[in-house]
Amino acid sequence: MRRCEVVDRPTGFDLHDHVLWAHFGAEDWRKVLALFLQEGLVDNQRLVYAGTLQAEELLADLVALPDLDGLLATRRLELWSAHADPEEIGRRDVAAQAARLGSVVDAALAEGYTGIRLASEITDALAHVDDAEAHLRLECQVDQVAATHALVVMCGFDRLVVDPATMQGEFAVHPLRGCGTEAPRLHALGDDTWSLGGQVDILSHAGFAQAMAALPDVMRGDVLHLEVGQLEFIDVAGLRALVRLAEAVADRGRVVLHQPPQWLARMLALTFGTVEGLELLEPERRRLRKLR
Amino acid sequence: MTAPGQQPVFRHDAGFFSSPEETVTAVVPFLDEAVERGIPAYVRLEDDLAAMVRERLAEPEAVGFVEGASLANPLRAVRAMNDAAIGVVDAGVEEVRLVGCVPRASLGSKHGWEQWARYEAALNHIYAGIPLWGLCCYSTPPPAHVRADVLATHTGVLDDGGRWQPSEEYVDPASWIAARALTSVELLDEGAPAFELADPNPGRAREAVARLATDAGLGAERVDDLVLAVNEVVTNGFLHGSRPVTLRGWSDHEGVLLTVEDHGAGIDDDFAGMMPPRHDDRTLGGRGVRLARMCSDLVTFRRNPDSFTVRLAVVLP
Repeated sequence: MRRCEVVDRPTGFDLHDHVLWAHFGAEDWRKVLALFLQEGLVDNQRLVYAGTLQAEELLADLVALPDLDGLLATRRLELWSAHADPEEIGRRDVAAQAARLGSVVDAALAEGYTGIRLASEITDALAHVDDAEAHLRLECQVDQVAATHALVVMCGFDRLVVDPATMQGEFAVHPLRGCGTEAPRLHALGDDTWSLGGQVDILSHAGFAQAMAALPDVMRGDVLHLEVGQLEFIDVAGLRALVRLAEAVADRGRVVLHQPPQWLARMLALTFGTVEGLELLEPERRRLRKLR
Repeated sequence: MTAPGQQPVFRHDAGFFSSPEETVTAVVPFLDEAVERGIPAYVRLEDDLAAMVRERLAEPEAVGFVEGASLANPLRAVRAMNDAAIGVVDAGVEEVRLVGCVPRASLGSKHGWEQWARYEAALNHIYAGIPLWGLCCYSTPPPAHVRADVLATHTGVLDDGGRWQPSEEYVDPASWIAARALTSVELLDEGAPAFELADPNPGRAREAVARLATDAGLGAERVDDLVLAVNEVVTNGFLHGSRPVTLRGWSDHEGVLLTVEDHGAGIDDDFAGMMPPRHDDRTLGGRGVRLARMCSDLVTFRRNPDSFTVRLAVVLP
């Protein structure tokens, strides 16, 4: 049975794993990429690095890989540079690409490798809506190949570049995700009572604001309860979403934050002062915790 | 003093006194005259001075007293002043008077005075054009360097004859801030950093800051404050600056310094974040920088040829 979960490191992957990794820029990606591919060397897999960039640019991402020239010379590592023309991207034959991938895996096995370890930086591939939709179809095909062939795949994207809606689509088609632990957790405890935990910062602003904006529409009574005892961190933009929530329900009720940590109460007072319709109950003398 | 009918503008005067008694003798007529002319008047002094003033006023109930706790730090003092006085100005009043002071304990502290000195300069920018007449009282003779800073950051000074005269040493706030030397804690970046993170994952950035501040000996609440402050500045670097955004940290026996550098144009207002947002303004703009200022001791901006750096410093007690 294939793994389907949140992972917190770019290693520990086996054949048939297909992971989506949200990185924070080129330097972060290169470190992740090196770790992922080096594991493939240990597991006697052929390495493939694919992307829409030109070959020279793909090489730049591999600088941290030891003996890069040797790996390329022996074809232990291959670079797949897709056509860089954005108009061509949407016209690629997805099925043909998937079939090629399956053949490449079979060829690697015939040469004595245990499989193919494929990494791909997909930020540019998601740049346009049409491209993103086409890419989703490709990822589904890739996932089918990963399920049936000796293939392990990591797709990386820049979290600050790709829009949240596109990210959500990509998450849906990747069984393994490398960034879910950073996202805040919102779930219902009962009527008009929600639990908010985790961390709210630049990585999760958009999704958090959307979630907060949705709550008034499902509110039944005149008090919306938010248990925030499990909230590990929230920044000013996140507080702004809470303030907006209070403003949205102010005409019919209020929002009550239960067990807010003292640092949150202080931060709210410093940045927004007293907010009409937002009540804090039982502030706890608790420090910021789990800062990662 | 403004004559009846004369249009007041922002005045930021300073008085040097030898004792609390001498201070009270000078400021009470200033306040009594305001009350007599129907000008709103406020007092924001340390508690002992405030009590002495209250006792000597002709109509103490007509003067607003802002609690001494607002002097905990300069930004809190500005906020208290805003809450008390600027709201009245917004209502159309043509003049407001305020008697205030800097905590006497800060005058002998290198970093403590530096916070207040910058605040004194900032007031000339923040309240320019506001019909507020502020009178800052230095009720004990300050050290020479403090006196020099006061003369440069106040538009007027009380002379030996008890008359208010323009300060010949006054420097406009932008020039003053631009020329102001950094403190020793702010210059920790002349050495090798304890850590350096390029385009850091924000969670990892917060962790690094917390570890540095804790190891340096800051108390739990100050560590949390610094984490909140740095997170906002790093976020601003990503959202409004240009990557790479680099976070660096240093510490020594005096304090902790964090710098956030990006390659964008940066903030062009050296006083950004010093003015509290209006109560009815629920937008986000500027609140991150303000939080950074509220949660740090010293925040400075430096524009380099191809980058912009925010320094956040916290001084060890």
